Amino acid sequence: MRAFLFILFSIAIASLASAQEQLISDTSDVWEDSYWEKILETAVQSDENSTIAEETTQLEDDPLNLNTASVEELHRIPAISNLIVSRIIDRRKRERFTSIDELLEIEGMTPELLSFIRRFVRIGRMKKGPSLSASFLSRTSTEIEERQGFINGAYPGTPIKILNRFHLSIGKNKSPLSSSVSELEVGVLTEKDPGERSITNFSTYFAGFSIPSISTHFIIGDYQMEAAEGLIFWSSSAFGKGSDVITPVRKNGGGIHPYLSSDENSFFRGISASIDLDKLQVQVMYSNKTLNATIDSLGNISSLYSSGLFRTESEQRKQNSSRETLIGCRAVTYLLDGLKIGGTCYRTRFVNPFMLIGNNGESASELWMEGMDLSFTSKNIDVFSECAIDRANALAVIAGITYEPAAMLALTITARDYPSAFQSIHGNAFGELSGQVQNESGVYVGIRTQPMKGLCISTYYDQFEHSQPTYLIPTPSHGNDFLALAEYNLTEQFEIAFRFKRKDSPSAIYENDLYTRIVQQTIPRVQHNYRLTGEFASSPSLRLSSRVEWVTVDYGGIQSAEQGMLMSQEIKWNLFYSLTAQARLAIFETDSYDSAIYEFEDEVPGAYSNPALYGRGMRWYCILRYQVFSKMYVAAKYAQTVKEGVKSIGTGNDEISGDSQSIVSIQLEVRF
Amino acid sequence: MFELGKYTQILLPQQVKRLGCALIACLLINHPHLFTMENNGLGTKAIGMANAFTAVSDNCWAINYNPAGLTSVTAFQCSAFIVPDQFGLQELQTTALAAAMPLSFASIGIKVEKFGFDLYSETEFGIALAKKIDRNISAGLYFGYQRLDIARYGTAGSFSIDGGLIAHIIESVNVGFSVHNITDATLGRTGEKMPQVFDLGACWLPFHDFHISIEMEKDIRFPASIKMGIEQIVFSVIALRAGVANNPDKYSAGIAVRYLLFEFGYAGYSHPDLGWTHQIELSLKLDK
Repeated sequence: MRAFLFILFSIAIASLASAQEQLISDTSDVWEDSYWEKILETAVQSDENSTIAEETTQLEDDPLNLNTASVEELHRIPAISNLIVSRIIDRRKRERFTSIDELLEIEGMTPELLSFIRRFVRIGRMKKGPSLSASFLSRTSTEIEERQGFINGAYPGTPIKILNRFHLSIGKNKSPLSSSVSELEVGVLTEKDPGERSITNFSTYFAGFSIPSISTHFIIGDYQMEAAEGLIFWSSSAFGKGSDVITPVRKNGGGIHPYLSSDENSFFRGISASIDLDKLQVQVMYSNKTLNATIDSLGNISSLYSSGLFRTESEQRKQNSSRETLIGCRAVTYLLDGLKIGGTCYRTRFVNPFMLIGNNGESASELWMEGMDLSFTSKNIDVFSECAIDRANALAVIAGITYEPAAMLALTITARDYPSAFQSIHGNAFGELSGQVQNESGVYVGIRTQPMKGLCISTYYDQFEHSQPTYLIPTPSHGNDFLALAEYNLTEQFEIAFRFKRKDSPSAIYENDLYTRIVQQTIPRVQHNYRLTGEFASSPSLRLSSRVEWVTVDYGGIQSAEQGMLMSQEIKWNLFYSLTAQARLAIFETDSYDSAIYEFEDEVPGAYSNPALYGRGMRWYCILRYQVFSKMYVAAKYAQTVKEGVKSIGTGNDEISGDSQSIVSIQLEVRF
Repeated sequence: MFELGKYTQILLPQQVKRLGCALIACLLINHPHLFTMENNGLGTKAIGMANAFTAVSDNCWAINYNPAGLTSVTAFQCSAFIVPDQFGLQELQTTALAAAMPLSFASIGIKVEKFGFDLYSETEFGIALAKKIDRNISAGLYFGYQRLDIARYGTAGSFSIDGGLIAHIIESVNVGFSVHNITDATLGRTGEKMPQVFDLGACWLPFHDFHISIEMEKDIRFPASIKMGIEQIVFSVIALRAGVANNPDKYSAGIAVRYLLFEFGYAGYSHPDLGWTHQIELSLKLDK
């Protein structure tokens, strides 16, 4: 009992001690969630496994020094355009930043954007001696209802999902040359998915260190490479088309950085070196890593297995079933102020021949790729391009321009052409086919304007064509995508937004032909989404958010049109200095999965999900976050989806009997 | 050809009544929520505005629509409400009493309601608490107990919880949200689900004596419904109300007259197939 009272007393004292700090940070949080949703909505997958959020959490753990971070590093901050990065560089050349609030002097930086990016940046401290920062995160989640696979024994492990992450960084004063790289950085992440046996079913780790005398930073272990516009190298997660119509188009990869996410595929394992000479940066990499893949009877890799789930015997056979050895290099030089030229290449070898997509069943044990990128950024214009050529001399190109003639107007035009024979297994460039740099050409136009105070109108139009069948459509196809978003700040506290989205892109259905064979047929499909959102930040500690969304899907009269709707209400409230509560309730009705409405939602801090809601039912969740000490917090989430008129949810081993699906998550994070 | 009139003529009026009652009872037994009290609404102000009341909720009947609205009750008030014969059927009668008053720590409201007739009846009573959680936002919770009595079948009871929020966005605009039966309560041994209804609405007061309200309602089992209502105060003592809604299509109108501490209200609405329903209300309001 005494121990319990002592713990309670400690918590109370710690809460009071952290009260002031919490108050300061919370005042900037009121619009944070809407920004997250705006930029992450299209990038986050439907489940909770959102690596893009984990990557931004990494950035949060080790914020960038505004006065020393390189252009590429600054571009890793979500929602920051290249032009804003360029203006930050110009500003610090004239005068160093002494406060993060000075970012408001940058053209294009709004208070809302600043409140969102504040966590990713810092002002360098000039204290002497080594600095130490460490963080530990442990996240556990489990579904309340048992899936069929656990009942029939197909899933041998427990239904609990466990993620543990540790990150340590020891640094000294940073010179502008070595940028924000720590002197020594170590990270370890382990993950177990539901149904898997071992708590370390997936593990990733790295050690990074700098040697200032040779201006080189090494990473041993796991790392990621993001280069230029993503034709050759990019991670699995990337921002795509969405409510932010300008920024995601321009990627400007930040090069090699340590990997500490739960995506089990898109990283390299080996050693890398980043050499930072005055106007020349060179990065070399060597990777020798196992692959999760489906191996056919001839011993070829028929497809890469990316779900990360290794529960059943057939899934476990795909784990580490092949191996890839890669050597790569990238060099970037700044010839003139704002002019950047880069070159990237790699050569990779597979233990098993790799079945090439779109090459009529051809396989190859070796792939290579070479590419160049060129960009020029001045005060209000940003021109960028990248081209890459593969082993079969297929040439892929992306080029674009972003122009901000005034603070109230920004526009971008981007053209892309990725041949169907182009094989980029480590690329992930801007486009319609998520994750594939292949079989697509298109033109994207985005405009953002502020015609009057408080009103912001964003719109994009993207036209695309696939010259060969895709994995979804059995014939060559083309389509277009249009979005218009009007956001109006009725008052400083209340924002109302209306979003219209139209996507005209063919779909495929299965039909019986004359000989009763099942064949895939291409049919027209036009989807309209209408979304009305209201956000009310009554005070720095209390925010309400309401949403109504309708969807219609038309198949050109070939099959019945579908429709759906969703209504939701959310409240986020800092109940006490240390306790934040968040709850949302959504009710939905759609005709089928094809007219599903996606509902972006928060998980425990650092994770997000975007579940597809379809059928008829209700979804609600509640998140509690308690700051135990100033550097330690616990968070928990309970979420439930209840469907009306169904006897089970899911199919096969994933089937849940009953009409509800619930999940509970708990997270502990400590930062030193 | 079957001629209904020919057969009804040979039945005595009392037999017709019994037959009608039996049919209604069968219908209600087979479809327990077809004629729930929710569908009609309570309070002549709300019904006169086609039940577009979630963001308005400014009298003691807020307990039925959005308990958060009880915070706008500044002094004790109580009200008696009756629907003598819904769609012209005396068996579909609703009587209800509600009261609300502000206390030092929160606003409180109570409600008692009875619907039906001797063969089939639904009774509900409950209590609500509401509080301003912020300068501009009120929240409320309602805890209710429903009892269903069916002659010769027995009775079943269930507890349910409703919740609501009202946000005072700007001086003249309120946004309200409410959800009925948060806990997904069920009724009886068969586990029949109670209705879960979600309402989201806004209310605008362009002038001090006129307001307009629009609302979207989604019962989890039925298509969404859009509702809109207006109220105009004339001569400070008379309120004129009107409203329209869809799913099902209906329009409504109402009037209220205030005299000293008392207010008399009338409202009527028309169902496209079932015709008019009238309701009256007498309230005591201690506020000025």
